[in-house]
Amino acid sequence: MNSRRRKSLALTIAVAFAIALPALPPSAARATSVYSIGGLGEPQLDEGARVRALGGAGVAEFGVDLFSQVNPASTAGVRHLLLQGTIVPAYRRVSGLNGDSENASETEVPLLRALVRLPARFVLGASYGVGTDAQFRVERADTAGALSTTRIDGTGGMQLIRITASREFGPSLRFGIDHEIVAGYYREEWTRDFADTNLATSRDTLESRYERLGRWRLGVQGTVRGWTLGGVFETKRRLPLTSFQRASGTTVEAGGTSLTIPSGFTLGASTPVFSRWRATAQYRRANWERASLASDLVDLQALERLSFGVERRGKKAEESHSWRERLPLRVGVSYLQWPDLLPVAGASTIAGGTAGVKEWAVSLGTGIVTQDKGGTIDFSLEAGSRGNKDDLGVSERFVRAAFTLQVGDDSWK
Amino acid sequence: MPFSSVRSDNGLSWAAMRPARLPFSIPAILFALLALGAFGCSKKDGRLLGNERLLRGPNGFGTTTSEALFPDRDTYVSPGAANFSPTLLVGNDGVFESRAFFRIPAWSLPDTTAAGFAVSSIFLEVPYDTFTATPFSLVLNFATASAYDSLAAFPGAAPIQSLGTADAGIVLPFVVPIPTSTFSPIKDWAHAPASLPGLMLYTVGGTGVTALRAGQARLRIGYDHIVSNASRRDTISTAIPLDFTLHTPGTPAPTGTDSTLILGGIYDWRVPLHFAPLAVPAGSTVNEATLRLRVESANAVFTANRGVDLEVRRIRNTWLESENSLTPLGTDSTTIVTTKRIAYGGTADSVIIVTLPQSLVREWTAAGGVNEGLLLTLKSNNTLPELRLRSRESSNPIELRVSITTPPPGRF
Repeated sequence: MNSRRRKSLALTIAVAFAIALPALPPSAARATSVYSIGGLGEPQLDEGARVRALGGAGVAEFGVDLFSQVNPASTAGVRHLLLQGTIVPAYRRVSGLNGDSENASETEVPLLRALVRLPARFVLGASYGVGTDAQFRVERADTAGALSTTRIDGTGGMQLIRITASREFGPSLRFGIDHEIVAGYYREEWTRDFADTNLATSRDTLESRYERLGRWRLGVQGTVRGWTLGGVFETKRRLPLTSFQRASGTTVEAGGTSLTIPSGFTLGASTPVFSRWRATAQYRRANWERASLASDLVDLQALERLSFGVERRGKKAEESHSWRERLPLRVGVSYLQWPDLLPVAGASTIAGGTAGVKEWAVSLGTGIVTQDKGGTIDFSLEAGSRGNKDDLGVSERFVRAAFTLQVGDDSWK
Repeated sequence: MPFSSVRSDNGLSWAAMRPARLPFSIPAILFALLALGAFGCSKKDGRLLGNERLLRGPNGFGTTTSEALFPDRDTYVSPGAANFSPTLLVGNDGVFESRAFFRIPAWSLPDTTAAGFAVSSIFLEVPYDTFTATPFSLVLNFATASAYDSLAAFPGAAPIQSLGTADAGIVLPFVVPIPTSTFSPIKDWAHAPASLPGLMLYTVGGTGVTALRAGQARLRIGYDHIVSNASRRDTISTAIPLDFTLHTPGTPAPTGTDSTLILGGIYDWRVPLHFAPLAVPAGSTVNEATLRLRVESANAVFTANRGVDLEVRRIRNTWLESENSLTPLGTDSTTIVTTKRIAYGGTADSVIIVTLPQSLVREWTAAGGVNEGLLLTLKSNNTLPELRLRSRESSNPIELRVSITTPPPGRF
């Protein structure tokens, strides 16, 4: 086997693994992070594969077909109609204190986006993004009272619907504004089967639902001597929260509480470092705090995400001698501090002590541009770990891929 | 290396997306990243370690508790002397005696003007219901009655004119021949049905009880007439849709403190029960509401392959344990639940389990809910042995088992 065929075979194996990743273990549970069983759920990165490969650093991204979700101003350079969708299969391994481990996998669609260029250099967009995902499934043998097996299926989380407007002011300055509607719910179905056949299966539905209300996000980008600086400010919004508990023949509704989506900001920069290399960095903070949600089961702290990425741009077709030169290469690293402060292992409420969830990830990605230049397909692969087994009783390692398809009106001209 | 470029008129151009020859390091890194998770040893089949993070406060995840309740009121009551069940009982058995009353609202008569018309026979015909034993030399008389009155106490309306007599249980169906001379008053009754207050069937000799099918009695008139110059015999039937049984007062009469509750039997006893379950906590699930009826071991054994349906209805009115009549209870006409094919064949059948709707307990204990108890009835049981149930005054009373699961705590 010559060198070229060996490389081709290796690539084929890697791609096959990536495609088969979500379906690998047939017994795997379908769930997001094990920590999404409580609190707000697993924070999602609602970005396309290109920005994900850069560790999520997108606040200073811009271009005719480049933009990020984090900064509404980044869309100002769009020249055409663009449609973008991302799918993220993920696979995780959860480890317990006594050496037990189990696998889970799921597939998420964290982002759908449409942008269109309007007259007077305005760009209008709409997007659907996933803020947090609270999907989980737990099975437990219950011995409280009559013996039973309980299965809990959790669904929901926060979904973000954004209407975006942006505009360029000359070649160096871009402004954008989002109206972000926070939608979603948290629902759990508890199904309890009893060993005693005289006892009917009990089914409880727990649901926390908040009003769909919007907030504002203001973004700006400026380019000076090759450096692009970006910043975003997000306003605060209080969402009245209502909890429902339903069982056969009864519904209990409780209101009077609220979930406050906090204010926050994002800052970042991007700069060329070598002829084809570019580096980008970002810091994001959402000021979650204890007062954001009154609960004995979760405390909240500021969400912080630090992202750093480098990208080697691919050469244009007419300049390149081989395919490897035409492919971009992106590498990133990120650190995420979840807003959730969860009860420590052994405690049943936050009164027994809390611990945060810290997440590290490295990412890698590439992409291709269609021949007509109207579309792109980007791919990223992230691997990381989150949580501390000693504090929280379990820890998690994960691998997730992201595939983003972006098409523009050039694609069907 | 040059590649062919194909531009599609209506879509993406995929020609440039042929697998690129990446540096070997890239697939190697991809593979290594995937291996991090994909080759982890899965020691369990998922979903269990999540329990470590299922934290919902000090009260746990909901608890299921079962409560065994005994009645605070129970007795057995009679539906009254008149019985409108699908079975007509006529005869006597010890202190029990019953009569059947009938009423004909409309008659069917032959054409008396036909050529050669002559009444050849008149008889009452009633199919037998299933009965456990053939009565011994039971002689019944069919007569006109002074009234058709289901509110009367036994023996009810007096007989006026005997129409015929027959042995019960000898031939099928039960037939009472009536003299053809009765056709004359029959014509009068047909002309003015109100002139015949009622008809009755009662014992005039022998012992035993026969069971007849209610609503299926016929008065049949056979007659001759000439059709096409030939004599022909035909029969015309008059349906008797109205009937009921009137029997002697039930014995033993309930006292309210009996250790045995009689259900069904020849008197068609009914058993009212009242329990006082604890209130169902808000949001809780009622997993079980089961009645356990305990039958006395000395209960008469049912005939093989015979069973009876037990019906449960809600009682709407307030009642006392000293009650001995069904009427004041105000029972629903619709059943809550019917347990099919109950039979007592020995001590193995000493516990009868009746599953009640779980919503009943919730209704009883809800704010503003009405709990006046339940009425047990055996459907069409008066040709089968009664069920003798142990009362709350006994050592092993009826039990209502209620199981409740408290709700799991919410996410926040």
